[in-house]
Amino acid sequence: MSTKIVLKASRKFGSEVEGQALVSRDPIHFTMDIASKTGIVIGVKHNLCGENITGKILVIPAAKGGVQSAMSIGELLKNGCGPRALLYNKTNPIMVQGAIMTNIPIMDGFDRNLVEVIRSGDWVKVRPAQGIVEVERK
Amino acid sequence: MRLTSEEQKMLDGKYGGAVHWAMDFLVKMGDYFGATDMVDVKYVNILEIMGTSEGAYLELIDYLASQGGKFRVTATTDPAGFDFTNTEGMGIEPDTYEKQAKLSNGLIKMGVLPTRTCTMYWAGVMPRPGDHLAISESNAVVMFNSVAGARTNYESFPSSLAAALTGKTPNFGFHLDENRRGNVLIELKTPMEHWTDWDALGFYVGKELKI
Repeated sequence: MSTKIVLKASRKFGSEVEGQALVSRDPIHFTMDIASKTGIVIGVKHNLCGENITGKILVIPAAKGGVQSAMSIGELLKNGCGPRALLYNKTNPIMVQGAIMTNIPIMDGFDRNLVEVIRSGDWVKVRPAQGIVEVERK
Repeated sequence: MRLTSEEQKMLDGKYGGAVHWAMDFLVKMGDYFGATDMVDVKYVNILEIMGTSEGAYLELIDYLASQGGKFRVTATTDPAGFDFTNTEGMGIEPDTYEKQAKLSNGLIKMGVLPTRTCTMYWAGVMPRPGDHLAISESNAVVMFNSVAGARTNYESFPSSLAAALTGKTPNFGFHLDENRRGNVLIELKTPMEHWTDWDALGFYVGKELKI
């Protein structure tokens, strides 16, 4: 039996995408935590160390990193290792810039704690126009 | 967002591809953060460093320069990452140097003043209280907001380019009165003996307040 959860966001950008969730308990620093040529999380203390973010719907509690991080998302995309969408409990203008530049959907300000509700492997439909995210779990 | 007729023209491409890209970017930023309109900026600080971004930033600048992009307000730069006159001494690879030179030339073509400093307030730049700016250098954001009483958000690579190309930035964050009130009072009892004590204090306060 599959479960369906709908989450509402107050801030959103981008077009509709769907994919597999990769949930991180730690904030992700796109310059320092991820290898730009492979999409692999290389931060040794990071809870996702060794995981590949390519094509994933990333679920992150908070933004991390300085102004370079906006371009790091662009680098990942250029190398074919970009995430499919960025879902944050709370993000910042730098991550939003990175998303707008690369046209990757980004949403934050949800009605629930994303990191506790969504699990890695869940199928997620990101619908920025409606301001919602639909999560399916088998 | 409510755009003026001039801003709408920029968005519609009446001033060319670079201005269209810039206004489109600024509107998307503004929409995300609930800005109702744009403000005019007096001065912009742009990142010149290629840094860890090997291709994405250079591509963007190439594109904007090729579309005839010209900065409409005074724009200065942060350090470019290495000393152009001493690349061998610094062990800079020729490939890295070439890419950085291309990037820098693209910015110069668009009208930047390549000051290459994080401390532009010591190089002659000092805004007035109330001036709206677009600053991509973290320390200067603090300097200009807190000491000069001007208004800027923490900009990054694309947003500062967009601000320089249009002379505009979306009206949210620190541009708004309601976001400029202090909300934490720190009573400092420890004597500060060395300037590094202030650095340590800043780190400690940030950690304690979780910001």
